[in-house]
Amino acid sequence: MDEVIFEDYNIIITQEDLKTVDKKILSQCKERLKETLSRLKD
Amino acid sequence: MSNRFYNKIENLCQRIELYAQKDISVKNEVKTTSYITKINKLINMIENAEKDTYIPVDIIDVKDRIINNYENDKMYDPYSENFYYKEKLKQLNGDINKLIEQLKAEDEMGYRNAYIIQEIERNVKDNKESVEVVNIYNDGKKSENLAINYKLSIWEKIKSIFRFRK
Repeated sequence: MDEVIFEDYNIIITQEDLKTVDKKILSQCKERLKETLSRLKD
Repeated sequence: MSNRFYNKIENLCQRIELYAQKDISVKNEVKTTSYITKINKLINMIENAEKDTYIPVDIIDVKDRIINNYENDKMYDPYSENFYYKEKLKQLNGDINKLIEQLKAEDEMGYRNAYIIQEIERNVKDNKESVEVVNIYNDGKKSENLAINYKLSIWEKIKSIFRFRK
């Protein structure tokens, strides 16, 4: 199963989890993650 | 499910951003690279999900829903201020039965709460039996303290479900 594990924060997200999430929310999450990514790269 | 997922992502982003704000002397290069890789992978997974055709929740196998829910629940820290079930319980003024009813309704909508409902119901039943025994020794009189103790013990049980999974 495709998944991402953030051990430090005890968070696991699987591809399966995303199936029941509203597309609009998915898009908001993606933008939020991109924002975090750019702060990490600063 | 959607709001829970968004809250999870928001919580994750805030924690990573707190790390990102740390002084460069404190930051670990391996950890930073690992976060970047994982966030990129997560973005890819979201993009794949956006492309996927919608699958009605009622055709998802119940067993899969329970297993997936077990995995989801592992992500909630009972000692965290953001602990999902604690907030739910507060909203319902500490009424465990209302919490179960709400989780059941959500489960029917595909929110995959079956595992947690099963665990809470089992623990509610165990606690009710012990409170009934205490009531017998109190000549059957209803005591407000007992009711409070009952709710507190249920809450401890709910937390313990998560504690032991960690």
